[in-house]
Order: sequence, then structure tokens, then C-alpha cells
Amino acid sequence: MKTTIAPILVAFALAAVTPRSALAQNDSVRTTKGTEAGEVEKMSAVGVTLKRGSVSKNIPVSEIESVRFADEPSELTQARVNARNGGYRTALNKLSGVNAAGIVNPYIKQELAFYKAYCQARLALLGEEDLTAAGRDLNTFRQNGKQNFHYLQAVELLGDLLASSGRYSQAEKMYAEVAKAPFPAYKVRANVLVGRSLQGQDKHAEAIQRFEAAIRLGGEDAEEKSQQLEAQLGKAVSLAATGKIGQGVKLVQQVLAAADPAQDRLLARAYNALGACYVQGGKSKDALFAFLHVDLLFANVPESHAEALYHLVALWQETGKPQESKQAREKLETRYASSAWAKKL
Amino acid sequence: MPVCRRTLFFLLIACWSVSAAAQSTDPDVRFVEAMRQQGYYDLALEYLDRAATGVVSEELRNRIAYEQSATRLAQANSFTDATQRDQAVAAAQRDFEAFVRKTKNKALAAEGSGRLAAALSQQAARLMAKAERLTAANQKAERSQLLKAASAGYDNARRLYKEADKAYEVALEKYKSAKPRSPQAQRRQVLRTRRAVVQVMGARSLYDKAKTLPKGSKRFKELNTKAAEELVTYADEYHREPIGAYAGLYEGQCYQANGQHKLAMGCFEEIISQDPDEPAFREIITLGYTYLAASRIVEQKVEQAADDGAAWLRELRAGESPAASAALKFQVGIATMMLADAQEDGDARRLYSRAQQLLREAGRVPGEFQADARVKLAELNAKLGAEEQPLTNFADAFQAGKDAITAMAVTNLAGGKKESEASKQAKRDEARAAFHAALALVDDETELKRINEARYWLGYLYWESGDFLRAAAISEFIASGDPKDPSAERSARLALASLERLYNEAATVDSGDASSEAARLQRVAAKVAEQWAGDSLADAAFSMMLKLALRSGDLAAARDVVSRAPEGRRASLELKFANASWEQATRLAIAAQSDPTMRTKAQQAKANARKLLRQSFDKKKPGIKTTTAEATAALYLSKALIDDGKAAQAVKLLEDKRRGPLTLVAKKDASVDRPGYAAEAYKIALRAYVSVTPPRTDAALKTMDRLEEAVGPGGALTRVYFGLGIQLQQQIASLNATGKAGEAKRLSKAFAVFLDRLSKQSGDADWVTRQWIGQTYMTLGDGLKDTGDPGARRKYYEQAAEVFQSMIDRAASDAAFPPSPNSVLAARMQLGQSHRKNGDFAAAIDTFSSLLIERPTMLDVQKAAAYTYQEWGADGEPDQLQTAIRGGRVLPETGKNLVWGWSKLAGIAGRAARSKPEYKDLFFECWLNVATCRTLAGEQASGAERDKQLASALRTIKSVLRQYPELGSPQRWRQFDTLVKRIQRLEGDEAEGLAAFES
Repeated sequence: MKTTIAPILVAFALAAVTPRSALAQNDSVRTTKGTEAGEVEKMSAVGVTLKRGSVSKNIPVSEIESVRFADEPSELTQARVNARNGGYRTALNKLSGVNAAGIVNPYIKQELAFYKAYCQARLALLGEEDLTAAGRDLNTFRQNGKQNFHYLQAVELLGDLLASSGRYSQAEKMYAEVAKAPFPAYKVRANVLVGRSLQGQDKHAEAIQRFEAAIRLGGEDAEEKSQQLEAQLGKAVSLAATGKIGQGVKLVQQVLAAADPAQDRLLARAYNALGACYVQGGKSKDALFAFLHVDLLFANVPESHAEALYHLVALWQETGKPQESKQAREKLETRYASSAWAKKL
Repeated sequence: MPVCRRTLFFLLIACWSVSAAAQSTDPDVRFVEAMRQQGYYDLALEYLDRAATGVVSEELRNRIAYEQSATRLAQANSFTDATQRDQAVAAAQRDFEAFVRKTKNKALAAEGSGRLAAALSQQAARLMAKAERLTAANQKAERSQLLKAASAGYDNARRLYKEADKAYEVALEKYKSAKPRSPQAQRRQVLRTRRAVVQVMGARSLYDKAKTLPKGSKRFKELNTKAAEELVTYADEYHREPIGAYAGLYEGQCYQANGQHKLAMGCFEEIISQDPDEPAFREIITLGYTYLAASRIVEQKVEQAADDGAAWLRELRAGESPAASAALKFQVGIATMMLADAQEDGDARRLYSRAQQLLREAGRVPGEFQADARVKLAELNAKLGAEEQPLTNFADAFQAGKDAITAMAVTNLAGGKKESEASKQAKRDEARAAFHAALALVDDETELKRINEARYWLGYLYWESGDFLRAAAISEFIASGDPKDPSAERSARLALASLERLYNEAATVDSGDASSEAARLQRVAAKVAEQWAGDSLADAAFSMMLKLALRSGDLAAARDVVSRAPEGRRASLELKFANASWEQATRLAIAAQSDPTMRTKAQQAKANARKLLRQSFDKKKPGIKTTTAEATAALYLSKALIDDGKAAQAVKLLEDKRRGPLTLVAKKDASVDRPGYAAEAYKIALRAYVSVTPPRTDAALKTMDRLEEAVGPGGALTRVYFGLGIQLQQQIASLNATGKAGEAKRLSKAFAVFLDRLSKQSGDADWVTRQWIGQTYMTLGDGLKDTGDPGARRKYYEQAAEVFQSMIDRAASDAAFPPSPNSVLAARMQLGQSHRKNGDFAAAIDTFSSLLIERPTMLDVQKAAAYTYQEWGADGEPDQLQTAIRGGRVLPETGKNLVWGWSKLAGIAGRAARSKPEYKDLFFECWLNVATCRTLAGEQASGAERDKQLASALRTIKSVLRQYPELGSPQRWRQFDTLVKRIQRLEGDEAEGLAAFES
């Protein structure tokens, strides 16, 4: 699950740059606890088995951030980094330069297929790729990659694509499949995803129930806690949407206080949620500060960035900064031209 | 190759900011840093104000004071106006220093010191940049002052970096035993990285400091070597981290500066071998390629420089590291251009085209090489005869205009040759056409600030071509708009300057009526003063208004301008006003010399001006730079102090280490870089040195050397000395008149030293000056009468005689030299007097006789000759007393005395007085001297002869008294009375004087 939802700290990592040569001879699995080197022996939807000498070690998918194969093409390595940084188009360009026919390792072939589908889907969510085509590729991966550690990530993303095209019931089926994973955190996660789907349908009371269920289900595990925060955030948005702005703000602030600073996606969503609460409460300056957090710190989360820019266009204007408003508009129209947020302008 | 010519400052700041931002994981702290980097200073400060009471992370709450200081410092550094920026930076630095001193949080104190150090380095870099622009010979002193200040800035920065290093070391202590992966371990890593940054920056300060020294000098090389030694340690210690790579990059730059390109290339090659997939290394790899290319070009590895650099440029993503990639494009562009130079037609064209593209792209991005790229592109275009592309949008047209202006600046630096002037003119026309085109291409999307910028440049170009009318019209229009517009302030300056030129032009044409120009200038200046109140621009506007008032001679209006300026910024205006008041008072004093009715007014004006000068000069605190007004005031004040008899104070002021006129002249300060200042300073110093107690003769002589150097030999110097001499003489007279005889005597002695020097100079002097010198020696000799120093007295008379003799000699060989034949006679007369006063009576008689041969009836000469005999007789030659009465020097041809003597002279005077009363006094003077001669003869005789002479003297007096009881005048009566008393005493009688004859 970590590959799907855990944001990865990519910014500079000044103190943790590992020389490439040290990993050159092995596959490596980057986890929430560090990097494991060895040879990928087996793979399933719920984990990766890494062999080191005579010892094999199973790493659950909930802890995996990425897997890098020793003989993978450098374009794939770069594309993976780009994709994590929100550079989906760049990643696709890199991947298009890979000669897939020349790849022997089936895991690498699947990795290539996943990232192509993943990036297309992400761009489709931003309005920059065709939703149907993206869904088709992702579905192909879902069918062929049932034994790949990206499987659950692909299922969730497919659900997101369906939700964004208004096919909520089909989306919820996908999220239900995620809930079947043998990790509590995934069950919590599934509730969050369904809650968001209900929000998309303006069913805020039901959404709040889902989010509260997620909060109740969450245990002490770091990933479960992280999903609880997502649930809290979802609840805050629905509370604000139903006029309970104060409660919404308070809840978002709790999320911000509790979140891991490395969770860019969560934080980006949280600041957007906070901004939305303030907008509803008529507090333009507070809203501006909230959305500006996303613009300045989380531009690597495109879907959140586009949303923040959309709001900033109006907020800069309201706070007497027409030039900044113009710049925000240009940025939104340039970087996210096809996004729903740009179209809303 | 301009590799190290300027500070690659964005690197330093980037290194510091990136590290600081990356080190804190707290989103709120990162948010504040991000706002600063975007230039949202006010917004950041507002956010921090809200943070004190609002919901923010605990980490930010603990850092609010620090972040506020850091934001204010960054904001201050962002101001474009240099004066405003310097003041704001100084205030922000004080604020920050106070925070660092106060905080107990060692880590925060260290971070604060690091930031402060970075700000100081930035300030020093600005001073360096300013110094680089000062290329003219007369700007040498200012340039050297700026470089010195920059050097001190880097020293301070290094000190603060070291303090930060120590503070981090202390802060790291408590994390010594942190468990791996624990939050403490993460914190330790954060602090360790921050420490690495300040260590590297501290070492880099040495490299920066070296750039303030002459390139290639011993100290320059030493500093670079030391910096490289320190940097290599950090490059090794932090080799896995980006900061280690930065250390390696700076190390390479040090070698590059010392011309050790092979060592430098080693460093840069290590940098480019870093992992290109690691985002944190990509920018520094780009810079590594940039500097590697520069060294390779020097080492003749041009192809390698071009190929490797181009290959890495292809690796870079669009928009990645714009400044660094622009720098690399510049170096690759240069290398490509060099390759093209060595190729045949086809290949050369392709390479030139590639170089053009690279330089064009490099020239679009602000940074270290932007200007160089534009210049090189312009050169290349000119070389290739590139066809002008039609300008189709505002941005391109604007850029074309700016490029042409840059090219103009380069032509300016090239010197003032005719070709340069033609080229400059062509570029000026090109720029003007481009800006006109830009303004014609304005559309709805064009920002007003860009339009105004184009307008400003157009105005500037009109100014450059001498079209002040158009320059004034455009700049006044912008200045009267939104004062916050980025072009408003400089436009206001341009408007003031242009209008002043128009005013000057109008004032110098025949009619001289500049009233409408003055009114317009006055109106704009008043508006600017109001609009930019408290700013240096407003100061300039007040200055302009003051100048206008003073030029019209309206001191009341000038005083009003001064009073309207804000209290805190009034000092320099008051100084200018005081200077103008002094100048006016001096003019009045000159006028009063010929019009006594003005004397009181002139004295009052001078007293007021002196008071104003003192007050305003003391009020204006010395700054880094001495202003022209301060330098002038110091000069005037010195003069006023001497006039007041406060020579010691004048000397102190003249020699003041900061604002003293002599100090300013010695260090060729820009404030005294104007004709006549140095000479005037030396003149005043000369007066001061001879007037001070005890006189500083050595200093006076040295000052004369400098004065001669400043004025140059010839008539001008003599005139200066002559003027000075007159002033000193007046000063001596004034001292005598006020009963300060002792001081007068002392001044005379010191004055003589000056006079000797003047006498040596007198070879070039005109007749009047020489005559004055001779007479002045005589006066000095007379001044020593009865002082018991006959040796000194004789010396003055000898010098006087020498001067007169030289005049007579010169007149003999150059008939045009004396103003008239009578002038020569007067000089001969004065020569005779000099001999006479020196006791050289025979020579005196010879001189007078030679005159009397030509003009026997010259009564003054006859009288002088009679006196000479008389004094000769008194000097132990009693026989000459008789000659004084009866005359001497028998002319063989006539048998008559050439020198008449008192007796004959009395007869002639008596006869003349019948028709010309002015001879009456001479008549009595002659009889008085007849009696005196007889008395003197009596004094020197004994026995009967003594009685006979004394009785004869009395008889003479009685005889005159009988005929003329009033003896001509009360003064003569007193003289006769005194003489009679003297005789009576000699005869042993009661000294009753003339009263004894009444019965």
C-alpha cells in the first residue's frame, strides 16, 4: 500500500544521498524503514520476496515505497523518480524511449507497463489524457498483474478514474477490492476512498459516516494512523461543506499537527481543505495563506497544486495583489491547461 | 575569460537557502522560507504576526522572532535603491544581531549568525560590483574605498560564519548519542548539514575577499590558496552531500583564480561525475560543467569544452536550473564561437549559428554572465553582419533595446575614440528605434511597469543624445504617475537632471531669462520631494530647490527650502546653505572695500555665515563618503577660523583625518575632485601654519611644495603667493591694531619664511608683485626696529635691496617690464632707502645721487639723501651731519652740491609753500632736522664745540619759532618741543621745552 499512498520525500534529501555504485549489483527495495538490497525472488499483490545470499525475506506491500531492479533501463529509473515528483509527462517521455522488446526480466516488463498506465491515469485525472484510454491500460495491468506488488495501487487508481468520470458505484467496487487486502491499513484506506466517492456525489452525511468508520478502524500502526489522518481530513471537508466550518478547520489543524512532514500528498490536501474552509468562512487572507502553502511547498502534487492555484487566482485579487493573481492564472493555464480547475476559471 | 570577474553570488545564496529549507521538515517553517524566496516579504511578516496567536507548528512558534529578523533582512536586501537598501540592511542587521545575542537557543543563534554572514557577503558583493563600474582615473580613490569596505565585509562575514560553526558544534553536543533513525538522529543530521554550510561559506569568504585585491598579487594568491586548503577539507568531509560538492566547486574556483587550471579542472571533473539522477546534484553538476568549460578554454581544450557542455545541456530538462544552465550556455557559446573561428566556411556558419543561439539564450536569463552573453552576441552579430529580424512583439523589441544599451556601455568602456563614438551613436539609434517599436507594440497583456520601463529608457537615450527637452518630457510623465512603479524613481532623477540642463542652457543664452525653466524645475522638484519624502531622491530634489534659490541670490527662499526638508535629512542642505551664505558674505566683503557704507553689512553677513558654517558642519556627522558640500564647508570654516585668530583650530580642522581638506586632497577624495580646491586648501593651510603658535614652519614649507605642485610654476603661482601675502599682511596689521603686538611679531617672523619662498618664485613675477615683495621686506625690517635684533633687521633690508636691484636690472634690459619710466625711478628710490635703512649710507647716497643727476629737483630724493647723511652722522660720523645741513656731492662741472641738504631744501620748500601749501610741512621738517643735526653734533662733541652746537640748535629753533609760533602744525610743534627738551637736558637745564622761550 505504501507505494500507492505514502508520499515519498524527494526534496533534496541532503543527508541521505547514497552512491549509485553501492547498489549497482543488486535489486533494491526502498521501504518505509530504509533500503533492502538483494534479488527479487518472488512477487505477489501483497508483497515482494527478496533473496540475499541464502536468506529470503518477505517485505509486505504496505511497507514498500519502490523497487528498483539491477538490470532495469536507466530511463525507467528516471521515470520512476519523475512520476513520484508529479512529472508524469516527463516520465512518459522517458518510458517511451525504452525498448520493451529487449527486456527479458518479466518484473521489469511489468514495472514498465505499470508506470506507463499509472502516469497516463494520473494525467487523465488532471484532464490531460483521455480517461477511457487511461482506464483501459490500467485495467489491462490489473488483469495481468494480479501477482505484482503494484496490483492494489492499480486497483485504487482505477477506482479514482471511475469516480472522476462519475461512475461511483463501479469505483466503490474497486475500493472494496482494496479492502480485501490482508492489512488493516488497507481496510481503513478503503473507507476513506469510499468516503471521497460519496463526497463527489455530495453525500456528505454518508461520507462523514465512512470517514468516522475509518477513524474507528485505525490502530497504532503507522500506516493505519496515516489513513486515519486522511479520514479526518475527509471528514473536515464534509463538515465544512455542511456549514460546520469551525469544526472543519479544527479537524484540519489536528491533521496538520499530526501529519508526517514527509507526507506531501496528505499535507497538500490538508492545506487545500483548510483553504476551502476559510473560503467558505469568508476569511480571504487565511485562505490565501493555506492555498499558498500548496503553491509554494507542494507543487509536486499536481492535482492539489492545480486546485490551490485556482483558488489563489481569486484570493490574490481579493487581497489587492492583481499581479500575483495574474501569475497564478498563467501558472494554472500553462501547467494544468486541461485540468478541471483550469476549465473552471 | 570572465570566470571569476564577478561574484557568483546566486550560488552562495542558493546554497544557504536550499540547505536551510531542506533542513527543516516543518511545513510552516518551510512556508515562511518559501515566501521569502518568492519575495513575499510583507506577506511573510503578516503570517508571522498571525503565527504568534494563530495555529501554527510549535517549531515555527519557537522561531517567530528569528524568522521576522530573517525576513526583514531579506526584504532590506531586495530594495533596488542603494541608499534605501543600505539603511534598511543596516537596521535589519542590528535587529538580527540583537536577536542572536539574546537567544539562548544555540542552534538558532548559529542559524542567525549564518544568515547575517550571508547578508554581509551579499552587501560586500554589491560594493565589489559598484567598484567594478568605476573605471575612470579620477574614480580610483572611490574604487579603492569601496574595495576596502568590501574586504572588511568579507572579514566580518567570515567571523560570523566561524561563530556559527562554533555554535553548531555546541548545539550538536547533546545529540552525540542519538540512536540511528530516531528523531534526535534526524535533528543531528540537520544541524550537521547546517554546520557544513557555514564552514564552506566561511572558507569561501577568503576567495571572495581575494577578489578585492589586485589580481595576481601576492596576497590575492595567498588568500585563494588558503581558501582552497580549507575547502578541500570540507569537500572530503562532506563528499556524499551536495554541500561537499559546492565546497569542491569553490575550491576549483580558487585554483582558477590563481591560474592553476589543471588543479581546477580536477575539482570540476569530480563534480560532473556525481550521480546525475540525484536531483540535489543536478544544478551543481551544471555549474561544474560551466567552470570546467571555462578552464578548458584557457587550456586550449576548446572542442572538449564545447562538446561536453553541450552534451550536458541536452541532459537538462526544460526550465531546469535556469541561472546555472544559462551560465553553461554562455561558456559553451564562447567555446563554439572559438571553434567556428578556426573552421572553413560551411562548418563555421553552422557553428556561428549555434553560438548565436546559445549566447542569445544565455543573455535572456539574469545572472553572472547575462551582460557578457549579450555583448558577445552583439559582437558576433556585428561580425556576421546578421540581418535584423523584424520586431513583432513588445518583449522582443524591449529586449533589443536593452541589448543595444548594453552594447553602448561596452563601447563606453572601450574609450573615447572616434570609432567608438560612431559605434555608440549607432547603438543609441538602434536602442531608440527598438524602444519606439516596443511602445508601438504594446497590447492589453503588456504590463504598465514594462511600458514605463521602455519609456524610461527612451528618455534616457534622449538624455544621452543631448535632447533634454524630450528626456524631461518623458521622464516627468513617468515620475508624475504611480510612485511605486519600478521606473518612477529613476525617471524622477532623470527629469530633475534634464530640467536642470534646460535651465542651465536657458540661463547662459544671451537673454539669460530662465524663469520659466526655473519654475518648471521648481515644480517638479517640489513634487518629487513630497512624493519620495525621506528618500535620497527627495534629498536630491531639496538640493535642487536650494540650488535654484541660491542661484537667484534669494537667501530667504533658500532658508525656506532648508526648513521644509525633514529634520533628519536636513544636515546636508544646511551645509550647502551655509556655504552659499559664506560665499555671499565674501562677495559683500570685497564690495565693502570700495564702498565703506557696506562695511557693517559685510561684517554682519560674515559673522552670520561663520556661525551657520560651524553649526551645520558640526551637525553633519561624517559618513563613509565625504560630500562636496562638506569638503567646501571644511575649507570655508578653516578660513573663518584663521580670520578669527583661531589658527590652531584651523590647523586641526584642515588636518582632520576624515573631513580635513588636506586629508581629502592627499587621498584624492572624490569630494575635492574639482579645479582649485587643492590650491585653496594649501593656501589656507599655509596661512594657518604661519599663524599658529608656535608657527609650524616645516609644515608651511611642505605645503608650499604641494601648492607649487598644485598650481604649477609661473605667474599663477606668484599671484597665489601675492594674494596670500596681502592676506597675511592684513592679518599682521589687524593684530597690531588690536594691541597684539607679540602675536604680530611672531606672525611676521613666520611670514618671512613665506616671503623668502615667494621671493624665489619672483622670477616670473610682474613689476607690481616684485615691488610688493621688496616693500614687504622693508616693512618687516621696520617692524624689528628697537627689538634688539639688528642682524635680522639688516637681513630684511638686504633682501629688499636685492629685489629692487633685480627690478632695476631687468628694466635696463627689458623696457617693457616696468609699467612706466617713473616706476623705475621709484624702484631706484626704494633701493636707496633699503641701503639707507640697512646702514649702508655710502651706497644709499650713491643711489640717490644717481637719481639726482637725472632729476635734481626730486624733493623726495633730496629729502631721503639729507636723511641719509643725517643718519650717517648719527652713526658715528659727525662730519656727515654738517653735510646733511649744507649738502654734499659736489658736481665738478657746476661746483654745486648735488645733494642740497636741509638748509637749501628748507629754502626751496619755503618758497614753494607760498604758492603750494603742501610744501609748508616740508619747510618745518627741514628746519627741525637742521636743529636735530646740530643737536646730534653737540651730543658727539665735547667742551666748547658741544656748547656751540647745542646753542646753535636752540638758535635755529628760536628763529623758526619767532617767525612761525605754531611751527606749522601741532605735530611739528610737539617734535620741536621734544627736541628742545632734549637739548635742555644736554645743557643740564630743566627740560621745559618750548615753554622756556615764552618769556
